[in-house]
Amino acid sequence: MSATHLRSPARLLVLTLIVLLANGRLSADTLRIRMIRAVQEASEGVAPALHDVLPVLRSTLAFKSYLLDADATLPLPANGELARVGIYQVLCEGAADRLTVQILRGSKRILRTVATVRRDQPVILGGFPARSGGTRMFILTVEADTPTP
Amino acid sequence: MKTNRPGWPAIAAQLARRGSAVPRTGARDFWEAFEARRHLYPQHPSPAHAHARRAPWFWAFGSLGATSLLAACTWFLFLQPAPVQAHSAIHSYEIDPEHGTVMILQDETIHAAILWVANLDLTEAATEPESQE
Repeated sequence: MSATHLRSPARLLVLTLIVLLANGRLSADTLRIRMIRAVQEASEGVAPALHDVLPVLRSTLAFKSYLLDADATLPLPANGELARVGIYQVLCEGAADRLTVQILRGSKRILRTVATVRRDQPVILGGFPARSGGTRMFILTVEADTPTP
Repeated sequence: MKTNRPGWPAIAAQLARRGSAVPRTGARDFWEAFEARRHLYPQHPSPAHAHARRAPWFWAFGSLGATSLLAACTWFLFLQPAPVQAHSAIHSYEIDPEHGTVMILQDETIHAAILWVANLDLTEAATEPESQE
């Protein structure tokens, strides 16, 4: 048996590992947290960053306008990272299949939930009163992470 | 195969020399008495009867079936992986401040999940000014 034959399985194994790692890297997900404010007053235009979730907002909730106030992203699976979203802190833990999300304001915890977040299927946590009027909500979406070179 | 053990005539002669009583029972009487007493003591099975001691097919298949059933029950009840949640969903929630109704909505069009808390009281948590508003 020649050396080439001996090395072939090893080369195949290394190639497979590289492909798997590259695939895993390419398919890494990011959790996007958008803090928006829903108001009853009509406003002109919609923030481009809300176009993907606007259909579900309009079909489910009875507000006239939606304003984007803050935006943050976290790599998934989350390992207890704290994202500052406006005056709130969002603590995330786990993978998108079973993501634990805590919303805190200052040192006070307001909400803790366990949710499954799928791509193109947002999870909306809403009902938070906003001082400036309207209702605040958090939109959690999973987006494909762009591969790093 | 020849052995050095003495036969019955030599044994009988030796017993006679020692003055011991030599059994006078004939061979036929001896074997009749042997056959009569044989059942009183446990006997090693003959090779011809060894097969009778094997487990019957009924027990073999029965135990196999019972084991398979037990394994299947264990799998379905304890070892089956949790079903994969196909769509976004809210599994549980805890709300610390005072609040009213909590609604979980599922949008059937794009399968979005909405957790909506009504009358959420954030006066205690509102220690910082809302700079974003």
